[in-house]
Amino acid sequence: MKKFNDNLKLFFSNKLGLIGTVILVGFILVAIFAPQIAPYDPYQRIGVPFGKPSMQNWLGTNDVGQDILSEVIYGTRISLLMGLLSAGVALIIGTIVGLTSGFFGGRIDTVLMRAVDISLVIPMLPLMILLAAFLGPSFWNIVIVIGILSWASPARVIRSQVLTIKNKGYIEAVKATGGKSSYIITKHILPPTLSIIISQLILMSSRAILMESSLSFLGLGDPTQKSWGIILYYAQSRSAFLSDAWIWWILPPGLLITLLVISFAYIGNSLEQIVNPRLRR
Amino acid sequence: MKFIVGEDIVLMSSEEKAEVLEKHGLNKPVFEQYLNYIGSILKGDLGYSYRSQKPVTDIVSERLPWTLLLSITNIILSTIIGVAMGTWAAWNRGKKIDIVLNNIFVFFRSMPSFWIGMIFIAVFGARLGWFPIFGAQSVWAGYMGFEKIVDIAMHLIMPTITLVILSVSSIYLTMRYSMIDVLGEDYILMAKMKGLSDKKVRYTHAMRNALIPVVTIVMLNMGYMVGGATIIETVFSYPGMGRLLFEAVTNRDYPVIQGCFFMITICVIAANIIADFIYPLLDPRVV
Amino acid sequence: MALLEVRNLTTYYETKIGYNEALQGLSFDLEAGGILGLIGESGCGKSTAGFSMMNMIEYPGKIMDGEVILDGKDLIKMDRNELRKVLWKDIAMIPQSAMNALNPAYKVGKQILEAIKLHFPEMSQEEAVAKVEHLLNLVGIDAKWYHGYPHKLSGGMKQRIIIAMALSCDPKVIISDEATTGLDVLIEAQILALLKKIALDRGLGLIIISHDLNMVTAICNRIGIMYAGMLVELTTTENVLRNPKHPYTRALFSSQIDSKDFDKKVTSVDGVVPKLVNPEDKCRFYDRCNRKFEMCERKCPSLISISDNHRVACYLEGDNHE
Repeated sequence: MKKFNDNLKLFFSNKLGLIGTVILVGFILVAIFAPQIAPYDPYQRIGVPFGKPSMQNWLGTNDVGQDILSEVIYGTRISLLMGLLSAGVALIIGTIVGLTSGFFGGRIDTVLMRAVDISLVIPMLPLMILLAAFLGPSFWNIVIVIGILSWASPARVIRSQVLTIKNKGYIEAVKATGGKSSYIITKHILPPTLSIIISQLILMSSRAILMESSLSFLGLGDPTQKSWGIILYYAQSRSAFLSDAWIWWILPPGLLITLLVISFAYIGNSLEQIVNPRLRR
Repeated sequence: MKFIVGEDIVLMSSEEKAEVLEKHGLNKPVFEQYLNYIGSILKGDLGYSYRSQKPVTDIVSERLPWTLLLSITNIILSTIIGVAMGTWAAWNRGKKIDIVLNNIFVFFRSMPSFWIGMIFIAVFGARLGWFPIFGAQSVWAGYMGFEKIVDIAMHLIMPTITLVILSVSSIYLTMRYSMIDVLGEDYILMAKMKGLSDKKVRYTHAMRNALIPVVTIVMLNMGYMVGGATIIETVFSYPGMGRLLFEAVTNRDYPVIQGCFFMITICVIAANIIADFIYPLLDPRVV
Repeated sequence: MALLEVRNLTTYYETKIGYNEALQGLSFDLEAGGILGLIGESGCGKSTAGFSMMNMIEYPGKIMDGEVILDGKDLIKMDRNELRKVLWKDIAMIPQSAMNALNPAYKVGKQILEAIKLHFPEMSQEEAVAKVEHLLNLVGIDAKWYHGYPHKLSGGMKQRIIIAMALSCDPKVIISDEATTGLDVLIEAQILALLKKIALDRGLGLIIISHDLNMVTAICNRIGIMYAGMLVELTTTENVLRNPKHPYTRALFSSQIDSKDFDKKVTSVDGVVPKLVNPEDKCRFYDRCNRKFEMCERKCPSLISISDNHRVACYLEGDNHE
């Protein structure tokens, strides 16, 4: 418990980590209270198409007359949720692979790590495009596509942590006293790995948010679930960049994506510094 | 990949279907199809596009030079900028300039690349009119010689800057970490004690050793950069492989998709071979 | 005038809770041809002393005070550009981990050549290369290794290369910081004999920083004993062996295992080295000393002469009482 408090102190002594947390909490609040905050229903036509910003519609209206501000506010929900869920899927696979590979070693390790190497080298985005196009546009398909194609780098990080723990002697001792593999993994390997898993989850979320926006931008997302990427997709296909509309239609969603990704990155980095003291200054 | 069947074929009548399957050799057993496919790749034949009926080899080789132009320019620029900035930051570790640089690159990393492209198009293309916003050259202008080169360069600038913003951060971060590591080595201290100037220590003693992991990262990132090119080519309607792949995927044009993946794989492998030539130049321990 | 005069050299390290007083008021003289040993347990400031003498302390370390006078010039007051001309030319160092002191990317000959060309710009390429080959021969390495890369060399060979490198610009003083720690005993002996011979032949001053009592007493003619960042006793090797004064020096030598008398009780020094971050102003050996008295708690004793060539920082000796 003392260690936890120390780490908490260390985390908050990192200004950037604190800034990231504040921003993220802000986004989470917006996501939860989107219906209360948003002035309109983003799926409802409330004005003229391509409306300029006005007192009624601060960010104007889109090509079918929906309020862009409301779209953006509701988009927080979808983008944040998709990022977290995709990262979750990636981490579940990555953790299983990393634990198995690190704990059992030998041939299993060789095979799994070769798979990791291959998936790190292949161009991920084209593969995602392919898979997303094949599965068809839906919220869960995008989550799954990003998740199952992003497990490799967390798997590698987790594996190296498992290896460090495994070499600490006491694991040998537990093995020698006849502890079952499943017992050793859940009782002795998983707990000290958890902090790494969490920091990876955070870093993965930031990447997943970017990937989701890319896929949605290419028109592979679910048009009934308006994420920030989808808003940008419509802005692009209606050539918003040719007129002044880019200022209220293109700029805000992109800035929000950047801000959210930065907040995750700051949190992830400062967590990583706690988990991996070597990185500390 | 043959098992993925596009929607179009479902809509066809059974005779049409049989004809199409016959033409593309899809009525044979899967294993035989696979052997045929490998065999024809070896002959340089990537099959025919379902859509345009043109040979995939032709389509791909028409697009490949543009992607290479874009990617190579990107790699060169990203590496130079990333290495220079990473060295600078590492040398001034913990000081203001290091913190500023770190935050700039975190920011770069956090922006969606296609969005940067859109903003560039809106501001520097549509608004200011400095750069063309579409394609790789002004096909209808009929430029020749030097004018043509300038035209191609002008078309290249915005997509390249966008791609550099996307790829430079990881090179910067790797260089910075690697440089910090190297600067802590005893031979750097030794070089300083010998009375060498900071510049000499930095560029002859530290740089060369710090570059080794950067080569690895650049090569590992080839795939990522090509992937990045997919989306940026789409934003700028740049006629490269990335855009071709995207079009093929939306059209379910499987031979073209396969052809694209085949070419991308070749590029990644080629990059790794090049890396194997670079390592011994930097590190005498690798022979 | 002595070859090298170190006066009140004081180096602190900045930490979050205050300064770590790693080196406090180091003072000694070194004559040409003299071999001075600096010994003490790990963390006593030996290495800090070495780097401070070269004015090579980097952040978070900082030289707070003192002079290092070589040839009448104070190294500490020099700016970087002046210092660069003096380093290696007049004072060279064989660092602790000579194993890693060679850049893996360059041929060893090139790395020695680099120093020569820097400090003797008028020397021709052929002369400089010939000098490197001569140096390699001097330290017992075949000149063909000029073109060898560091990873091809054994630890002992690298050590010799570093010695050759230290000698390359004919310095007046060489500091050897644990240069032979970690080598095989036989190679260690060879290398030390070589160093001593060169020092005597060329009349240069040698400072040997080590924790190895036997080695230091065997090769040095004067010895400084360091404890917790301070010099507690400075005298001839003879005096250290026959007539040690400071309680720490005595404890240090009685903690040695006597090869002739295995029954002799090995006394260890109780307690631990005090923390050096914002230390109290009492004798730094106070907590572990078995002869302390109230005076020791009031003020840290300074190093005073008790006889010719014998200086001790202890209230028990001389007229240190105020």
